[in-house]
Amino acid sequence: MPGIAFDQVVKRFGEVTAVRELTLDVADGEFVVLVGPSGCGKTTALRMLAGLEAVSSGRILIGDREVQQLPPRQRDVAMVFQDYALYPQMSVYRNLAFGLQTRKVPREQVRRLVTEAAERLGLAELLDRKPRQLSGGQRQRVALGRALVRKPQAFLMDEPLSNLDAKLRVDMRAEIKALQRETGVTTVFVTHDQVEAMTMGDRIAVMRDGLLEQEGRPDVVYNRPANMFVAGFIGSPAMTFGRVGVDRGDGALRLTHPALRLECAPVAGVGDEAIVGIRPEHTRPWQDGAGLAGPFQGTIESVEALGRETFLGVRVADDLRLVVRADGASDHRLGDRFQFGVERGRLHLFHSGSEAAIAHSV
Amino acid sequence: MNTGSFERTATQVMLALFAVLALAPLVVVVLAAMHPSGTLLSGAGLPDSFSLATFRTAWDEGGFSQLMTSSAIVAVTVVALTTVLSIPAGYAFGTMRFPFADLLFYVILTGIVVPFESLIVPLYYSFRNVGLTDSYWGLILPQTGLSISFGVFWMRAFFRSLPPELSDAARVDGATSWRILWRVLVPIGRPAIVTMVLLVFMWTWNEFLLALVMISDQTHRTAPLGLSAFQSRYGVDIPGVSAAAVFVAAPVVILYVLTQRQFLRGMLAGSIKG
Repeated sequence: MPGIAFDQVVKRFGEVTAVRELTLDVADGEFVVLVGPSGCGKTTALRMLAGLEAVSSGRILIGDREVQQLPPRQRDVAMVFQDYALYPQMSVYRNLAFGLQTRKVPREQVRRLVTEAAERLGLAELLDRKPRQLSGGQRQRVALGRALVRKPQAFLMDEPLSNLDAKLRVDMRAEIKALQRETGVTTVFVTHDQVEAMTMGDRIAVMRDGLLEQEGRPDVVYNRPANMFVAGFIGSPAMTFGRVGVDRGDGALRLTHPALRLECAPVAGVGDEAIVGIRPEHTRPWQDGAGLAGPFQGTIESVEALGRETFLGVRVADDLRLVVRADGASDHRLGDRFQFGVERGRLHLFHSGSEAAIAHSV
Repeated sequence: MNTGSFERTATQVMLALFAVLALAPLVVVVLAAMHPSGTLLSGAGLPDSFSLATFRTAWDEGGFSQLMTSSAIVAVTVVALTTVLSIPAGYAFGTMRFPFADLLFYVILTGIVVPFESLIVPLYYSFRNVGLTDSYWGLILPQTGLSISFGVFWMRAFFRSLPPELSDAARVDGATSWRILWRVLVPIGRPAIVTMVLLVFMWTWNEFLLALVMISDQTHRTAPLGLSAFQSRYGVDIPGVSAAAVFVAAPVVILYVLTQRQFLRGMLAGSIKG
């Protein structure tokens, strides 16, 4: 089965450049997630792949075919839309069959393929219903079935889980991932939800303002973000940052701020100033003998109790706010003074001007 | 929404009053037509006995068989041509980008904006020169042209109101624009199309000025023109003229009654987010 390639793809809408020289390869059978905030160009990129938007410049390949000039019907891709886009006047059966009938597939074969897809997705009892008679989850399955039934070269999914409630979203994530693994169809999935991206993608591609900021395996993007934007976008709660001065001496690097001092292993390429990033899960309330760097002090500004864990927003200084993770419930209240520590070797350093990453796990 | 009983009662009284005001003239005309032909009437009143004899007399004496046939030929042809041409044109204007689209649309809109009365005289002379006066095409062509202005405007607005994802989904499913229009969008657009059909039929059926100018022979005379001639001849026969008026009004009323649900849906579409 063919892969997909974006080669220096650009999309302009008048004066606005929505996608800037996107170059991204998707291997055969791979599940790649395009993730980023609203307006970053991920949906535009997907629509160009589907043939629903013209390409301003660059090439798009599906397999070894250049497709950027081809209409959607000649690209053999199937798309699942955010609002499902089911044909309201058609029954579930006819919604599933429409793409096959358009391609003049024989009636018996249509019936067999639709029945197979309906049984796979738990829609067998709903084939006579119209979309308005279905729940959100059922409509989602019909939208998936419409893509599945055509056995396309690629699945394209544009935020298909956005309109589902939280529990259903989790269930459908697993369903979609299982479906993709079963069929082995190359899939490009667009979402603004970084949790979806991390849990579903074989690789994730983080976009901002039309640019591809970083792509790679979820664990790599998470642990070695290319810049502050990726570091702050991927991870929930997000990584927190602080501007620090940098002193070198005694074979170590000292990161200094009026409110705290951290030491880390020496790193090349860092100037007199840097931005340090710390993920909340690498901080915790101070414990003597726990091997933490610290203790550091701050005032609690926010408390997010999630049952299994609590995230405390701590103001260390006016220009330095961190999020500290505590196991289980926490007794701390807003305004309390609080001591915390940082796990050693878990800092990220970023260039203070360009915001590019300098070092990770220092 | 909770409404008090006073507000509900007041609403129902107002609606009943407007219903009476709207229906009263129709009821008066129908009741008048049920009186024997030649009865002197002043105002509304029930007949001594209900009879359809006046309808039969008016039908025969007014030649309404020919008149209704002429009107039907013209109206049905105009509606058919308008529908077949407005739907794809409205689809193109509503969903596609092509050169001079805006300019072309404004040109088409002139059919709605320019008063027909200003066109009728030059139209008459142009049609006379090509032998289209005293013919059905002399009525069909101008009315089709004007109806298409409304039809394209109406259908463009409808197609623009649809979520673009529907067409996108069909396109990715392999459909051409033509297939998307007729297999996906037109079935959804039934209320809007029925509304357009009803309005165009009503305007065409009731068109008087064009028929008055273009038609001088009896063979091609339409029902409204025939009613006017009937009234001139039998003006003092109120029951007879009333019966004739019922004939002319009936097709539009019947069509509305048969399609009112779709018509209302088409008129209200877009006012409430579905």
